[in-house]
Amino acid sequence: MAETQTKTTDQADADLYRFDRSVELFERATKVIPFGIYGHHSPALRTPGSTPYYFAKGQGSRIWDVDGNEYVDWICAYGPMLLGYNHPKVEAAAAKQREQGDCLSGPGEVMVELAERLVDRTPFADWFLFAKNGSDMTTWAIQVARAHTGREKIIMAQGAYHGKDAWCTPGHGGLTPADRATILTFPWNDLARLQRLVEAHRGNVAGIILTPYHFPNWWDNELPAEGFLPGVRKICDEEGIVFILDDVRTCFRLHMGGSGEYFGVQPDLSAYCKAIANGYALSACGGKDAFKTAASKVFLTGSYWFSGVPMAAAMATLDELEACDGITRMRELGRKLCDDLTSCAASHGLKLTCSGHPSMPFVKFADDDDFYRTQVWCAEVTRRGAYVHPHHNWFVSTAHTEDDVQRTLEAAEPAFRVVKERFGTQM
Amino acid sequence: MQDPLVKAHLNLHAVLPNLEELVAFDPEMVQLVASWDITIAFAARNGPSAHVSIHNGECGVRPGPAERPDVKLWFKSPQHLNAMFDGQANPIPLKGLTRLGFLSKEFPKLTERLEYYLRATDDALADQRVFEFVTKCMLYTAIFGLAELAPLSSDVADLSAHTPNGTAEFKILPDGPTVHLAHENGRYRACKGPADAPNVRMQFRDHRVCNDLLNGKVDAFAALGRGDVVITGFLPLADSLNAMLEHLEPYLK
Repeated sequence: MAETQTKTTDQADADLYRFDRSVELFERATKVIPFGIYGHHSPALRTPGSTPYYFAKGQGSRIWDVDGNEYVDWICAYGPMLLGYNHPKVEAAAAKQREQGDCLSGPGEVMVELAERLVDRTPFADWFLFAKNGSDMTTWAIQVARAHTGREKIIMAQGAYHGKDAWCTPGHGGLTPADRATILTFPWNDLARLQRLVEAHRGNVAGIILTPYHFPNWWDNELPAEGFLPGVRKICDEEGIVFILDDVRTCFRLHMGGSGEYFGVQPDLSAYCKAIANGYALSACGGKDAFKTAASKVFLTGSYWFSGVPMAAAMATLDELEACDGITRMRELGRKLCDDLTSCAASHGLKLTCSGHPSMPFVKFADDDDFYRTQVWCAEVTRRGAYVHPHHNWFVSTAHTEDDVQRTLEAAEPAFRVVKERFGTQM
Repeated sequence: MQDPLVKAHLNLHAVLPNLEELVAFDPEMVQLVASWDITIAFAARNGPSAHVSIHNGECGVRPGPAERPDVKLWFKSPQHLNAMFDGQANPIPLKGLTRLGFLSKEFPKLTERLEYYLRATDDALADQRVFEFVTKCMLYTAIFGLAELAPLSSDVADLSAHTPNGTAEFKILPDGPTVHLAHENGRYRACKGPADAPNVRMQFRDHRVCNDLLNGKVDAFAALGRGDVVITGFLPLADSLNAMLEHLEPYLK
């Protein structure tokens, strides 16, 4: 009996994905690219050795790594993939624009059309403009707040991520204390602390920048407490502070009018990026009319920021998202994924938690603040065909189906067994 | 710019403790201290204090004043203490004048030998045993150094304020050494040996990997991707400490 079990285990191990080609490429990369792979895609932030490093292709909800392993992808390129990889309508729109021209000597008509489209669907916004990445827009937005108010301080929530620029990234190389000298922080959802902070710096706070809910890596995600976001709005109105919504990660995953609409609050400026053009490089910032003059005073440009193809892709993405009621689909499927995974975990005596919005769940074990269980589980799930992340929220796209959830459960179930064997049960 | 107070803390609490390893490693030093029975206290005005006790062939370096030192060395400032460590000044003996001969002739043999290892030449490092000893000292110096730098240096104040509470354990595989650093609300404490329940574990594949990483010869992210360094647990703690190491490096050069 013991021998049979050993053979079964050996066979199961043999079926687990290997990443030889990924590792080989990484070796080559480290010779010519600092980090090998940098930023949020760095394998250092996942579980090196138990995760693919390089991918070959994507289609719908699936991705294939360079070793030929296929995955149900719950990371969706860390958010940009909203309708699934290679969505035919988006690709057709992009191809049509590409035939006419992408990076020309000036913007195309599509830029005006996209701005009009966004203004039309976004209740708070009277104007939009475009760039490439989230940081382009969050950094620009705080500059607009300063230009509008003539003040210098910016308030953000502790642990919030607003991009890679120096003002919002503590630590790491190449920074000076001056980079963050004008940045103040308060604990998320603590309106009283925010009020005190504003009072302590009264007359010198230009803007408050917040994500619509709190999704720092490494922590359970927190939705806004009742009255929190309206309270922030009230403070901003009373103190003449610009309310900036960092909707880069969330935007059209939560609501077609931006996540401010979802949570019932209207910002003054809002930065969009990941859920806008289905993987094409585009970010945007929208604002109220009152901030348009200040916006026009803050320099903004980039070599590829006027490219037409991503804008055409965005138009098609928004059309399709509306047509297929994508937001409801993502929310419902995300909820099913979380429910099924937590039930499966419970059947093994384990407590899995899903925090945040169902279409962007942050998945970890309860009482696993150091992530030891979660890291092992995610590595095991990944090696069985579902691409998940132990430290970052996952993403659901409209391309995901109940079959994908089932396939993920098939990968998750044996992974729960591994966790139980290594760490014991939690119930 | 280097802060003399930070440097004085590093000299006494991160570099000097390597004497403990030296008298256990180097056969000549083992012989040298075999008959020593002495406690030497170091104290800098407006700066740190520590004491070195050598008894029965074993050496212990502890922070703070000694209860009954045989020799008490006083420094008029952190800069004065640092100058002594650089070989450019002498301490002011307050106690143990009868041991001045020992201090001027015997004790320097120990500190000079430590310096020999901490500034080891490539030829010396070709000996694997020496290489591993030097790497161990580097690891201890780095982790004990972080415990001094983090609460004191304005350069890392913002970083330290964002460093999560918890204990980080560092180990060179397969058999150690192991050292850990605990952080709680701005207070840091380094200890040799494994931690009871570390929040994050950082393991180096071997001494070469650890040495290269501490010498800035390799990219930490690349080393992680290659599996030369494995971090499990609460990575943000390790990430913050790694970022602080960059600020420690100029002091230890």
